[in-house]
Amino acid sequence: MRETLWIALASFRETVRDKILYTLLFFVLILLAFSVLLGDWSVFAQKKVITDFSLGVMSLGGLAIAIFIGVGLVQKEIQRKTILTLLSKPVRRWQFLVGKYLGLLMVLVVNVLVMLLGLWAALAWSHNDFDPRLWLAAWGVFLEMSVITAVALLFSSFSTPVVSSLFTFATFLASHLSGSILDYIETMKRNAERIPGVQPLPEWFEPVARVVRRALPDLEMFNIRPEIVHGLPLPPWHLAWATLHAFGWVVAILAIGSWWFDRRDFL
Amino acid sequence: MNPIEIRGFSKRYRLGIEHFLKSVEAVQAVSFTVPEGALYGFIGPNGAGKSTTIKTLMGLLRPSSGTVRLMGLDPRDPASRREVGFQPEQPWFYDHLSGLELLQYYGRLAGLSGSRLQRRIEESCALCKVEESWLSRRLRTYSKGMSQRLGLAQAILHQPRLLILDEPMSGLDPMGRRDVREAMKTLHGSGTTIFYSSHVLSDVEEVCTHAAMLVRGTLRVEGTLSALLDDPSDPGHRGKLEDILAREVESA
Repeated sequence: MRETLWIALASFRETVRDKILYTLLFFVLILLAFSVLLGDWSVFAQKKVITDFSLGVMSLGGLAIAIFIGVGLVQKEIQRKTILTLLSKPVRRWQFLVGKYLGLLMVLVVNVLVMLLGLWAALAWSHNDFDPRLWLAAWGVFLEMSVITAVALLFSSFSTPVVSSLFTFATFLASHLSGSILDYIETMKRNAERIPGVQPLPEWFEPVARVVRRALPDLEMFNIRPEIVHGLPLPPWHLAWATLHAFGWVVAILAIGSWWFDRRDFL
Repeated sequence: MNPIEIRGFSKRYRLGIEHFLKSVEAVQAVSFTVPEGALYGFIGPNGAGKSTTIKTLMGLLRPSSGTVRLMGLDPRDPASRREVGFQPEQPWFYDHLSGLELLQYYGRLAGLSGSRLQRRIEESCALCKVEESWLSRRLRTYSKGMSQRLGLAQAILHQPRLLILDEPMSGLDPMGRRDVREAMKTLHGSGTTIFYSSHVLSDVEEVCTHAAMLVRGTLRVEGTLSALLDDPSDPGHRGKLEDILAREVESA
């Protein structure tokens, strides 16, 4: 287990010395600053607008970091052949993959904290209080990114960086939209029964949508922005369940990645 | 126990997805043993299958058939690599790390820590002629020769019983080659078994106790260096590996 930790720390150091991280973080902070302007324009719902926009920016910023850095971490080792020396040490391949993942997770923790600090600064600038429930929203963003990072790592263990990035982004979109698509199918079914002239969707549509829904993590579960922004109560145990959901998916995805990684040749 | 045992080892590569059913056999039914305490030269022209064999020994490639044993174990078992040091053909390292950070990282992965790690870094750098001033520099500023020396230093950090080096002298100037040769002699003198591939046949003749020659994926000659070089038809006359290689390449 110690080897995994050393790889994680080295991976963390590699990422925090990477210019791309600061470029992404810079854009995120600029957008957070922009949220103050948006808040000013909205006059009456200033705090809600700043909070909603900033949490959205945090989520997308985290996604960009997970994709651009997550995909590159393993691929860089393979393409630059540094993996040859590393795997010649008494290290198991799953330890390499999990170590890389944990290293990036540490980066994500730091980034979420920095972004939260940016949100606090934006709220303070516009004379608004920092709602302690924002920590819960940030935890939701972190859970979502931890799953997406695992997906990025899985794809990058057997594919090129460009393809891995596209697949990861497609997974992100499909995981968010699959629930809405099922709702849409239900609505269309009801409408077809009630309203004459409305054509029902093809029969294969629903089973396919259900398979997609089951095969992908439910990223919408981590989105608690509406509750936080509008001061609504969170269902009891929601975050605990969401944390378990994220953990289960991360373990499953990394297990598949490790299985595949263990079987491949490194030339 | 012999540190390296290879029996009927073959490796086939698939020629890309469009030729999924086509494959090329890089190494064919190779068998040899590296005995404890040997300084073993692994020679052959480019594309002979030397690096494929070495990468399989390090568990980086899976054999298509045959058995490969490293320290008596399957090379894919991390325990087999615990007492093995390895330097790949091109010592690619992390640009963002300094030389010292790299050695600390690899040393920790090899099981070293604290004052023992620090002491071993100093000893390994001294043996490989890695200057102290280099260690604080980022690796992206290293020349090929500096990287090769650091590559050897990281391989010997944990005092391995077996050292596997893939072209350790490639890209080195004559002084660098001499330093690496001397380091190998010192390590061998202290009991380390060394298995190394090289194009430089004169180096192999100078330092090795054993040699194996691979041509187009097949093992052509293998044994102690004296048995390979001594001409039975002309006792007392010592031949050259270069002549043997030329003969084997022509007949392959």
